Amino acid sequence: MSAQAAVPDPIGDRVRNEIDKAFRRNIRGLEYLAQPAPAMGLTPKDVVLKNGTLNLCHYRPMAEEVYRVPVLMVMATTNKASIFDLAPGQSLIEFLLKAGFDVYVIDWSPPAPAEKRLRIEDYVLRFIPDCIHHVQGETGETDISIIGYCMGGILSLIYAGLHPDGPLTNLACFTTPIDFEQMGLFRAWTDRRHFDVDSLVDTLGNIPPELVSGAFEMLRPAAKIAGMVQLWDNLWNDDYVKSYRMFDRWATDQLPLAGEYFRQTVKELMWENRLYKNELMIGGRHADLRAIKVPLLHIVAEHDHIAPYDATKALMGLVDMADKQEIMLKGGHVSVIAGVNAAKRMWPKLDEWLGERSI
Amino acid sequence: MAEGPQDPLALWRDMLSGWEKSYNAMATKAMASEEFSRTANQASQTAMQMQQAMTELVGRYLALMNLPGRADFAAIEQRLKGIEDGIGRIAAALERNRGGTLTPDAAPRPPRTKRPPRRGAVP
Repeated sequence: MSAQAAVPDPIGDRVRNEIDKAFRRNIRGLEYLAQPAPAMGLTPKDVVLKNGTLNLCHYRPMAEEVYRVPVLMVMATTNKASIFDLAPGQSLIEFLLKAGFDVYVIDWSPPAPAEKRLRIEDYVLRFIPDCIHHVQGETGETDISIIGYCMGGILSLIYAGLHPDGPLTNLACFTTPIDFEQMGLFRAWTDRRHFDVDSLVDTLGNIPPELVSGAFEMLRPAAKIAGMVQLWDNLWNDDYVKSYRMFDRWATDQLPLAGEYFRQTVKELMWENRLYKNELMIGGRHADLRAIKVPLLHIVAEHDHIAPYDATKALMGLVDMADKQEIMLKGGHVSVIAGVNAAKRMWPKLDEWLGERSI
Repeated sequence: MAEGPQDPLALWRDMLSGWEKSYNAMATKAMASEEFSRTANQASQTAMQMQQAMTELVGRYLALMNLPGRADFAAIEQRLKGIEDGIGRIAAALERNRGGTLTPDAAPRPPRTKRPPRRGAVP
């Protein structure tokens, strides 16, 4: 080897590297435009219960033995549950299956026009209990653990408050807002002096997904442009592009919200803040959070702009049980539960917490 | 790749990140005002009323032309969904009567005997 070849040339290396990236950007950019959206939710499953907007899926076990207590995951009503199952190796569901959990997931279909009359009552006194009954029948186990994400966490908490005598055994909530006075821009935009929720629901029936996704995007209006620029910058990186496309596809695949459910959410939770005040009445019954006595885990995100920590932190103070734990992790509202960092940070903590309580 | 502070691309990425943060912060401040809430809600109310009027107009036009409208297609979709759900229930009932499971190709269920691993133990 000649002495000349051993002389480091950082500027030359960098130029070569950037030219190489530019070539790959151009090639991958064309591939990006030509390829269909990536497939998600590929972990084998069976839809075991359907009732209008409700779909209960059972994921086929991947371990030789499973924990005694089955797990029911309740997805937020705004999005598809594919965020729990992005891709092999990036799937919370696959992770839980391999860790030995028997996993059921409540996934929502777009509510039909006739389902505009669905209320919170339908979700927590009919859909979730029906699913639990079904899981009990299939597994032969009375006990059940529930994991709720965002609005799914709220529904799970309300269900738990209405059914303090079981069969719920463990409750884990992800990024679940409780104090709606701390919901920032959502609170400002739904100011009762200007936001006519009655007119909106009476006119539209179900709330269109564009309205919901538009509100989410407006929380960070520069994020979309910055995201596109970052995508261009990273077009040479297959992993980045794949991850971007999956998250983008999931985020744009928003669901309409049942009209009455939306009206009730705005009036009871956003305006009156009844969940935080522990005054929420559902079907004439008090959804008493202080009555919940099962172990509770709340995973919150440090940089959550949708359910900020000021809105989520109230949960620990509202419940009385001794076995309660809040874990704050780096990440945002979605990245705390899905993606490469979630697999390293959140999933092992959930596995550890739930495994000890599932025997 | 380790990129020093003199790297122009790193500087550009920092600038982009800074722009995103400051733009979001500025927009958040503006959108949190009562004025924004009032104006945005008035605008969306007007847009909704216009859309509603247009929907009614198009609906009347389609009815006049003896063509199905959005509501008709939604009703057909609903009925098809009901039929599909019904077929699913019948298939499940038939499967149960045959002594099978809801899903014919489902693998046998593993025993529910799993214990959590001892934390810190060498696997």
